[in-house]
Formats: sequence, structure tokens, C-alpha cells
Amino acid sequence: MPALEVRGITKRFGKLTAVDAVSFGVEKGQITGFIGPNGAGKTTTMRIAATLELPDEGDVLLDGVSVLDDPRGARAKLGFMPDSYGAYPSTTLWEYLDFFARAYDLAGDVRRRRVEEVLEFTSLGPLREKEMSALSKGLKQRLCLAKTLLHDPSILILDEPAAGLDPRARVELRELVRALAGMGKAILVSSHILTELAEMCDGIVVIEAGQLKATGSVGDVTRGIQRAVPVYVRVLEGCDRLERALHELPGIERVRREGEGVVFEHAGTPESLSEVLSGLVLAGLHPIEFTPRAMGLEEVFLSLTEGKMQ
Amino acid sequence: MSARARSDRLNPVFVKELRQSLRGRTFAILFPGTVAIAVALAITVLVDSSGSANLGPQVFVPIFLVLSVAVLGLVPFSTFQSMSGEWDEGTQDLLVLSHLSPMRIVLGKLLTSAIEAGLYVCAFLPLLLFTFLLSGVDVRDVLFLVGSLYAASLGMSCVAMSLAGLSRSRFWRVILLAALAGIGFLAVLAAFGISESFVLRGRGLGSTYASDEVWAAISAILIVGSLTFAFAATRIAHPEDDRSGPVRITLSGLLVSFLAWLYLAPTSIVGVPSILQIVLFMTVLSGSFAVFFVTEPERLPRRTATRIPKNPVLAVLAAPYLPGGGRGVLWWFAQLAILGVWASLMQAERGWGTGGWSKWDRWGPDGIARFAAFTAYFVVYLAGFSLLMTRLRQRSYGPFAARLILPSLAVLSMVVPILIGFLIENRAWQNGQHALLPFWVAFQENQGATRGWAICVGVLVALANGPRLARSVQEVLVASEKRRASTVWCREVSAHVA
Repeated sequence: MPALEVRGITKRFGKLTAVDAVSFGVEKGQITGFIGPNGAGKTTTMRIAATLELPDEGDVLLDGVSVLDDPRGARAKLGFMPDSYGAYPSTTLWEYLDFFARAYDLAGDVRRRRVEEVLEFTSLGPLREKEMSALSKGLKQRLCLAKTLLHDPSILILDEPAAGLDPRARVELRELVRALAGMGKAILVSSHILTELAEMCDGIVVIEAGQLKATGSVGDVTRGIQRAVPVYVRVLEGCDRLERALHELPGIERVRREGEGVVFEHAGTPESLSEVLSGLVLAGLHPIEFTPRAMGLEEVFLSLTEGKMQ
Repeated sequence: MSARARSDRLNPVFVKELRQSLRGRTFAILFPGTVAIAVALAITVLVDSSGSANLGPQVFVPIFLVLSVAVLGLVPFSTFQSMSGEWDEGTQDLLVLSHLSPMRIVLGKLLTSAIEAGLYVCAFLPLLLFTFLLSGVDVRDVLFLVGSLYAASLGMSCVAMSLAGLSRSRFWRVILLAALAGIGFLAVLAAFGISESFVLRGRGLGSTYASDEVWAAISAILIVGSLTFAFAATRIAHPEDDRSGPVRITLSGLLVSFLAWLYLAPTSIVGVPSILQIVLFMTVLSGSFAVFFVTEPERLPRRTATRIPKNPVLAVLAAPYLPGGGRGVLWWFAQLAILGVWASLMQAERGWGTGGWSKWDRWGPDGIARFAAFTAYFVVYLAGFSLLMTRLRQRSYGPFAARLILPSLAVLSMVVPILIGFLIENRAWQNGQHALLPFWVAFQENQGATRGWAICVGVLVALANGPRLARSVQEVLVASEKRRASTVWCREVSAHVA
């Protein structure tokens, strides 16, 4: 059973259906990217999963606990990092974390130890006495993540955690998220920076205009939409001969010149692709580059979505 | 218990807010600033009035005025900012996700206000007590006035929290802040008036004049404070949580406390109240609050449904205190029942209204008929009009619109015949002597027939509401049964796993 299971949730705001019968799951130790254009329903879905909104239909189970039937029980299993979170003025990092630790009913030494642990995990220990207003955006995001981890939730929902971060802060945040997945936490993370997600995620959920477009591992989703794989070939000499030879081989489509080589599309299995390479060698061509190009997350996203707004 | 262990038991919001406010720039500037102003004022008055026989009161009043501005103006302002900051800074979601209940959040903020106001009082109290040495001021008056002012400050902080929770739009928040400033100004004026009356006009605790003002002020603080506290807690709760129940319970609690106080207090304190007039007044008052409840959407919020008592009897008893328009009507009926029981007890216990007292005081057959006729009008306004607006109330803006329309219809039904009276030159109607004015029908002599008609219409409207009320109770019973079934299922699963 997935740690986070979204079961056919629908949410309407007046006449607008923000989320329409969306279902997906996130396994333990897995990072799942939640992608979609602005207004696709990502934040609404995440807020429903975080018990902050109620679905009109469907349910979300967090480790088997329903957000509808037992929101309090669900919250104990969940760490939610909203896209915009607030700082309390005139409050130091330690006081901020201490407050939320108290709010999660952590008491005495357990509370102090937990605050120290999350400070250490997010490398914010040396800044504990610094006021929140003096923190950079990247440090604030790390602090918010630290707050999210205080009650040691098994499921994390991170809404746009990398928004507005510089490249270094983004890399640091990515490492933290990976470390958390390594601890067995199920993580659902939304972001517009798809290259960021591609490097981090095991699975993706694509949503547009409130409707689920695809869900699964990045490879599965890519294979599902990529009928033919583009392959780049460069030979030592004889680019014209290469082009002619490719036209004669079975399973090859759309051969075209690109730079010093040729790109063709192959719709067969990896074995048949290997046979194409053997055929080129047997034809007396000397391939020095033979690169199948898997679709990037951006291409997957663009081919799945139509840029619908609602 | 060690200091650390004690600290763990403190309200987290209180700890956080106290750290914030005492370290904040606003308090660091305003606190010494107000104390300095008070000292400067005291010295100025002392120098100007040296040799005057009645120096104490002349020094007391300006210092008390500055303290009033601080605890009735600055402290509630800080509470308002703290509450609205939860929405402006986006921290409200984080609080909702934590284990803090709305009541604990609001209580934490109130405790912080209490400490802030306490600090002001501690700083000003030596100055105010010093006026006793200048003669003309009674120490008991000083302590009483300062204590009352402190209680009023807590009441104002509750008002500030409830105002801050009314809207999430910054524009409306500015308007609400202006409203708070207005209320604060009136409160300062009232505090000034009472202090002047106590120390300058000699109407202090020792005099016979004080009791009415004192009781009125204390009652107002208690009622407004507890109501706005409950309201503020509902505003910070999740929209699908119970946002109506705490206010209903507080109102019922206040009503029962007030009636119990009238019942238990010696007649020498309470005087001789007119039972019927108190009942009619409380009917109007509870009806005014019921406008908010009867206009709620009928559906039981899903998160409230998961907290309904599993025992069906308890669930039915809890129904009037759960959100929903039909249950709002039940809540109002429950208040009427409380009033009826109280009036009967008063009549039986004290025999007020018999022998020598006018019939307006009596809770006999005539009084009950007047009460029934008067109530019938409110049944039409509350149960009837809200039933007609069932579809409107289901829309997102519906409850707000219904809360404007319902009292407007009630007022129009009383006023329009008066205007028509001017058009058709009917002198009686012009004077408000028409069958749609409940006060006239209830109080006027020889209106037995009209009262009979009013009661009939009220009964018909109540009957028309029958299916609505039955559904509202059935919904509670279904939710209660679901909870019982889920408990049984959980037990069976646990047994199976074991």
C-alpha cells in the first residue's frame, strides 16, 4: 500500500472544478514530482492531502489514515511545507522551532533534542540565535523544512520548495530531500523547475486543468508517450552513405541531418536498436557516436500538457 | 516541579507571543513612553495645583487616562496585529496543522495581552496609589478602578481578536482596525467617565451611586469578552470544523448564568424584576444571535460529523449546539425553553408578580399568552424566513446575504405598515398599532384575538419547519451511528489482527 494514496479526489470552487477525480500514490522512500502548469490544481491537491482543504469527492490516505475521517491522526503522519510560509518577526530560529515543537506536544528533553536534530540536519545549527528576518530565502526554506520535520513525519508534501532559490541553495535543498527519501520517507514535491525534479524524482504525477495526465516512474511515463526514440549517429566519414543505409534498415523513421551526424527515430525494442548498430558496422560505416536520446522531463511535460488554463 | 517542566506546560502560543512582543520594537518604545507621559502629566498637575485641597483626584484622573489609553488602546492593537499576522504571514495553516486547538491559540494570545496589560498596570499602580497620599482618593477605589480597567483590557483584546478574524482581506482588515480604534476610543471615554465619577464626584465604592455603573460595566466586560473570545476561536478554526458550536455554548452559558444569578441573588440586590419583561427581552436578545445560526447551511460539516457523541441520546442533546440552520432553530427553541423554565421557577419560588405587582410582572396564563404571541413573530422571522432562503443559504455568499436579508425583512414588516398608515392616513398604523408589530400585540390590552392569530401563524411556521428540524436531528443521529459502526469495525479488525 502506498504511504500517500490519493483516491479519486474532486474539488470544486463554485463552477470551477479545480481537481477532477485525481488518483495516484507515493511509496515509502520514493520522491514523486508533482508537475503541471499554473492553475492546474497542484496546490489544491496538496492542500487536500495536507488536511487543509476538504475534497468534494474522494479521499486521501496517509499511511492508511483518512484525512476526512481522522484529520488529526493524518496530520501526525504528515509534514507539509507550503509554497509561502510565514516568519514570525522578532523570533530567532531556535525560538521558531521550539514554538512548533511545543505546538506538536513535544516536551522536555525530547523537544530540545528534536530541535537540535533538525537544526543539525538542515545545517542551521550555527544560526540558531539569528532572527528570522535576517535570513536569506534559501535559509528560510531550510528552516521551513526543519519545522516540517520536527514531529518526524513519515510523509512529506513540499509545495514549490525550490522557488526563488539560487543554484547553490537549490542543490543543497535537493540533497536534503534525497537524504530524507533515504530515511524511508514518502515525498511528494511540486516544482516548476523540471530539470530539478528530473534529477531528484523516482516518479512523476502530471496534472493539467485539474485532470491527471500521467503518473508512474519517469521511465514508464516517458515510454508511455514516446512512440519512437530519436537516435543520433555520427560516423568517421560518409554521412551521405549513412543516410542511405539508414533508409534501407527496418524500423527506422524520419532520418534527417543534424550537425555532423544524422538523427533517426526508432520505434522498436532495445534489441532491434542494437541490430541497427550492427547493420551499420556491417555496411562498412564506422560509427563513432550512437546515442539514443531519452525524452527529458520538460519534453514529457510539454507533450502531455496543452497549456490549458482554468 | 522544575522550572523547565513548568515551562513545558505553558501554552506554546503564549510563550512565543510573549517572547515576540517583549522583544518587539513597538512595546520597547510604547511602554516607557506611556509611563514617561504619565509621570510628566502627574508632575505638571502637581506643580499647577500645589496648595489645592483636593490634589489626589486631580492627579489621579490624568494618570488613569493615560493607563486607559495604554491598556484599552495599545494592548488590543498589539493583539489585533498578532492575530491578523497569522493570515498575513501565512502561519495560520501551520498552526492548524499542529496539535494546537483554536481555543488554545486564542487563549495563548489572550494570556500575552494579559501579561502586557499587567506590565502597564504594575508600572502605573505606584503612581496611582501615590495619589492616596495626596488625599481625596480612596485606596479601595483605586484598586477597584485599576482591576476593572485590567478586566476591560482583556475584554478589548478579545474584541480585537474577533475583529481581526472577521476578514482575510487586508483592505477590510484596515477598516476593522479603524473600527477597533473607534471602540477603543469609546472604552477610554467610558473609563474616564467612571474614574471621574468615582474620584472627582465622590461616587466611589463607599457611595450608593456606584453599584449600577459597576455592575453594568462588569457585566458588559464579561458578556462581550466571553462572546468575542469564543467567536475569535471559531474564526481561526478550519472552515470545515465546528465554527458555530462554541459561540452557541457560550451564549447558552451566559444566559443560564444570568438567569441563575437573578434566581439566586437576594432581592435586596436584584430588586424586583418583572419576569415577563425579562423573558421578552432575553427572547429578542437570543433571537438576534439566532439570526447567525439559522442562516447557516443545513449540512453538518464533515469534520464536525466525526466528533459527534456516539451515544444517540447525547447526540440528540448536542444537536442544537452543532452547526446547521435547522439546528440553529433548535438552539433558539432551547433558549426559549430555558427562559420558560426559569420564569416558572421564579414565579413558584418568589411569587413575584402576585399581590400588588402589576400584571406585566406576572408569569401566569396572561403572561404566557403574551410571551407565546411575541415568540410567534420571532418564529416567523427566524424559522420562517430562513426556511424560505434555503437555496440561497447553500451558496458560498448565502449565509452572509441571508444574515442581511432576514433582519431587514423583520424590520420592514414592522415599519412598512407604519409608512402605509401615513399614505392611507390611518392614525393607529402611524403610531405603530398594527398586527405586524410584536411589541404592540404583546403589550397592548384587548389584543387577545390578534395574539391568537399570531400564535396560530407561529405554530404553522413551526410545523412547516418540522421536516427541516427532523432532518437536522437525523443527520446528527446518522453521523453518531457511523461513528459507532466505525468503532465496532476497528474493534473487530484489532481482534482479527490479534
